[in-house]
Amino acid sequence: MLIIKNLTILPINVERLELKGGVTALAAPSGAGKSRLFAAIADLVVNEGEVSLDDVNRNDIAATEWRKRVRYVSAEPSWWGNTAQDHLSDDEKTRQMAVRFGLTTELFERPIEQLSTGERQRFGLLRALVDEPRVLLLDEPTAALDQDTSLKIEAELVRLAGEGRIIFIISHSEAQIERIATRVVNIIGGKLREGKK
Amino acid sequence: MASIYIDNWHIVLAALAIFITGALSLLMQLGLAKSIFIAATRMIVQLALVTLVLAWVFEQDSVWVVLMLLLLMGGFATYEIRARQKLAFTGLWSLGLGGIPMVGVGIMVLTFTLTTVIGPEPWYAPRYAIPLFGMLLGNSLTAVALALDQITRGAKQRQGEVNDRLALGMSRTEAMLPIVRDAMATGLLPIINSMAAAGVVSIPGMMTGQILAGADPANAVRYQIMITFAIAGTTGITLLLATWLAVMRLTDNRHRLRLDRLRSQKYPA
Repeated sequence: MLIIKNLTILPINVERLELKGGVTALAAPSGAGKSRLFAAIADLVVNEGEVSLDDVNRNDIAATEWRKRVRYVSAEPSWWGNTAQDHLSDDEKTRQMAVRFGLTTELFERPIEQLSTGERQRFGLLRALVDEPRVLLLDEPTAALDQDTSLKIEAELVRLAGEGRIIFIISHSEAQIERIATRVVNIIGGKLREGKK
Repeated sequence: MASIYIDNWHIVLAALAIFITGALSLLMQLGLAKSIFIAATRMIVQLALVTLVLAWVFEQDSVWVVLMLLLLMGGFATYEIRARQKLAFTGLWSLGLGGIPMVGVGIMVLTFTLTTVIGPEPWYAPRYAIPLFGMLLGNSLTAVALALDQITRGAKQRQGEVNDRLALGMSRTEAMLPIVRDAMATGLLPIINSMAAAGVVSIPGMMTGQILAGADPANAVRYQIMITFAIAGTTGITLLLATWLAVMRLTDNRHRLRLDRLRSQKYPA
């Protein structure tokens, strides 16, 4: 269970939020500070607050270890190698997940700049999901994807949630929230409020 | 053989070329005459002052006086590093981060070179120590200024990349490695270029000076090789330290990118 207490990252103040599992959607208009809240939970930006996962306080373990368990995936992944393969390990698990994401072997070796926005977004998800972190903080994971591919990613998220992973997702698609979210949290006046599913 | 004496009238004669450039600039309205005149005057005043300082330091023959002068030179070089940054670190880090490694390593390499390679009597002889330190400092100043500029700009421009690497669980040094690599390469480029071009494209300044002063060319070459190694060593070690410190300052112990520790400044200042 992920517990967030008294976390302030302006303009948001989280008094208490507990995420036990399933897929929780964070719904709020653009500019409400959703991405920064996710980055703060992953401890990527300076923030005050108490965050713990399965009774382990994040300040009691190395930040690198925390982010192996609590993974933030930005809306637009960045790349440092020439190909997607340069960012991924060459193993069976990666290839199987890639197939489920609709990514063919040939795309792994193609220069990053020749990939479509949607392909890059899927490779970004693959890179972040393949080592199976306990918590996934997904910032608009399907924003650049068409309906069919979105559904593939959604199926994978539902599968991961079924395996006991905690998924927290920012989505602007009500249909998507309807399809996969087991819980909805809204931001109203800087505070988190339980929303209607 | 000693060098041929040049009196002040000969210097006026040598200035003729600059006067012609200035006159042409006025004639063609290039607007350069004033800056040429200021730069030339500044050089004369600075060098005249240096003559006085050097004469005094040579006379004192004290290791402390030499050290003070070295630190003074180091101080000027440190300010110069900061002036060449588009993004400077906040507070005293803007000076110390480049300045301390540069001056510290410079003095260590200088001491090593003086005591083991050249061996003048006394070992701190200002005639050797001061010009050698000037060359070490001048080169590592350029290298550190370039590398720090590259690393701070890189961290800002490539923050998405750094944050993604951190989000995947990499440490701050791992996350910054591609940027550090680029910064090191940029910093080392001038000295690598000058080693590659030495003797073929350019006759290095110190060697030129020694040959003009009547020294045996073979010995002048040996001096040049020695000082080039000392420069490359100083530059390399200084760069490693300065870029490491920059990474530590650009991130915190929770392995977060801290761009709030940088501030924009007028560039070049």
